[in-house]
Amino acid sequence: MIIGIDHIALNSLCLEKSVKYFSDAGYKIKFVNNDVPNPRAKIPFVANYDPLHSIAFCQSSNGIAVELIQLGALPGSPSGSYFPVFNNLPKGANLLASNVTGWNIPEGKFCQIDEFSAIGIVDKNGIASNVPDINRIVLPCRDLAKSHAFWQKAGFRDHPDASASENGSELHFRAIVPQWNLRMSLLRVDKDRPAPMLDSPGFPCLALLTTNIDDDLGRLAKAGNGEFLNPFNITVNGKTLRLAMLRGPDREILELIQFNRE
Amino acid sequence: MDEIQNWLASWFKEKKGATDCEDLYTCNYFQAGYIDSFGVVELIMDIESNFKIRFSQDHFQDRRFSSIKGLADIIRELQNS
Repeated sequence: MIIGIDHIALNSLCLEKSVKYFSDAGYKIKFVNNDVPNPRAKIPFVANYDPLHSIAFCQSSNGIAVELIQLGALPGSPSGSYFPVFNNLPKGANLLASNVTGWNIPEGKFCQIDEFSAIGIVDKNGIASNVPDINRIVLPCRDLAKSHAFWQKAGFRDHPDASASENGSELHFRAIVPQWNLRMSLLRVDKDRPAPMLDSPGFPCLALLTTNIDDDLGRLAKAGNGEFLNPFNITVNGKTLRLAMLRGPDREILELIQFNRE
Repeated sequence: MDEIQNWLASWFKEKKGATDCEDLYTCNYFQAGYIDSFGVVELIMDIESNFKIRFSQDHFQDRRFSSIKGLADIIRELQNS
């Protein structure tokens, strides 16, 4: 049973700089693990495997957590599938013209912050400068119906405040822990995007918490594009986790996390 | 307090260091800081094992889940179904 959104991953070229950025923005840095073993099990989902990697877990009280990962993004490599919508954007964020076609997000435009891209909420007075929480992500997809069905299998439900159209639909995950909630906007696009890898620039992976990783992996892998990594153990911040990975219908990467009992 | 509420209260006291207080049974244990994400998973697994029940996705979206009293009501409903 998937019980919540644990985090969204963000690839960073310089973990120290990114940690400072999020800390200054009001995130609580739960831990930083430098040069920890990178499980070989992940190799099929990584473009350039390095036996070591660094991670940092940044928590927000008003949005989902961000896991910073330093694997080494490749310039020009396909970006991650997910486009977070930040509630507020820090000073210095630069607006870019939207390059997502087929759907207008009335309240937002693409906004680049340092080395990653995200959709920002812009009001008529400009960009707010509070904590950039993430409560919503946009996921471009080729087959809206298939993606809608996939994410419902992952526990998302139709958002009560939004109606579906031929170009998009709104889902939300309502969890018992507020920071595990997430709204997802599926955006129908006409072109296939290259398959992202875990070391793609941007936000390559969405992590879900589960109480039964084998059951959930079996269900979701069938509904996705068929690619998956069998569960493997990893120690993060002193805790042993059981992880699995799979690709959704548009080859977006999902991570399933189950805590191991000690 | 009933048996289920007492079991839950003991769980929070023994595993999470919660203290006996007037609002232990009615407070939101997330907001009160008694439990983190690992703790939630532990709680779910321990409840399902002890009471021989299985939560559904809908239960995790039930606001009652976040208090001992409300969670006990959910468990009781599952046992009686």
